[in-house]
Amino acid sequence: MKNKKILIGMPAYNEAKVIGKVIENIKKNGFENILVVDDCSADNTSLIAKKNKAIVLRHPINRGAGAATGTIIEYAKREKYDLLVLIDADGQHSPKEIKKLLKESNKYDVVIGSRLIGSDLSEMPISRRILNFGGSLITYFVFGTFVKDSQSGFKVLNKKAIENIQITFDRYEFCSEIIGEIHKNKLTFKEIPIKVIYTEHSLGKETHGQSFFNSFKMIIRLIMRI
Amino acid sequence: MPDFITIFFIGLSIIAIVYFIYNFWSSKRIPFIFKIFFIGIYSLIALLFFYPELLSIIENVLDINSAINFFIYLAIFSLFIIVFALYKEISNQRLEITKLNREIALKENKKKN
Repeated sequence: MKNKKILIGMPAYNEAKVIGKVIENIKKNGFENILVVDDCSADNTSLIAKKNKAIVLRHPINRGAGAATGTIIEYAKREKYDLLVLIDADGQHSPKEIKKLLKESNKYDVVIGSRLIGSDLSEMPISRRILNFGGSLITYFVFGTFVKDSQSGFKVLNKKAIENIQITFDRYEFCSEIIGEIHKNKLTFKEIPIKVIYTEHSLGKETHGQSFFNSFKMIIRLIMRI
Repeated sequence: MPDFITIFFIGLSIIAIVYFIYNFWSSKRIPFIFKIFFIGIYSLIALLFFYPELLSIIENVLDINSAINFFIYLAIFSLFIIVFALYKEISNQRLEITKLNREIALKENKKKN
């Protein structure tokens, strides 16, 4: 693990309030290569990320979380990173758990941080539990692989996964598409339980793609792609 | 004997139709199967315009009361195909915009370094 080139990638959109603290916490856990892909935020996300010495790529126009994650994977591929950790920029994932996921990446191509296994779900809003389960079910019907938490944004990809996973969805459907890519490219994966920190900021974002209306649109887009 | 204005407008219409078909046929963005489908439909409509008695042949062949029903179903089916083709085209354009967006972001970063 020590000799491996590791990149921590975060898609970010209007995260100026929290991004500084998130980067700081990741650095405290011993990771130096942090990439923030700012999806054309209207606030100072890029500026704050740069101040905290992260590598910043800024999309000239807003394309969505899927497009930003695609940019992270493309960057990791071009810069020849061995491992890529995808983590949300809103602070809902604990950087302390990165090492736990990385440990499993020796045996699996993709390690998914699951909010739905082995953890107390009482903190998760019921609407999110339903949406996550619905998302996993739709993902299974569309892509043929069942993952308990298919919508998790906390993942580790090894070199093989970085080179093979192609994201074509721009919005939140990319989470399901990654599962589809795992199936298509015959990659191995494992779900590891993680804890999620629900803050007012992470719950309050309308653009987070997790409202019922957005989820419905997501399902339609997934079905239209078949 | 048709007057000059009638001949002029008929001539203009023929030129416009030929120009439209030429452009449609030579377009590289439209799949071959769509070209055949739409030119077939428009040719059929043009043929029926000049020879309306062909409607009764269609009615006999398809064993239906009115050939107009057949054309209504055909029109609805064509609309679905057009919507599908437009959706596909928009999806492709979105994909291209995202790729361009990504390349600009990656190149800007390279420039700064």
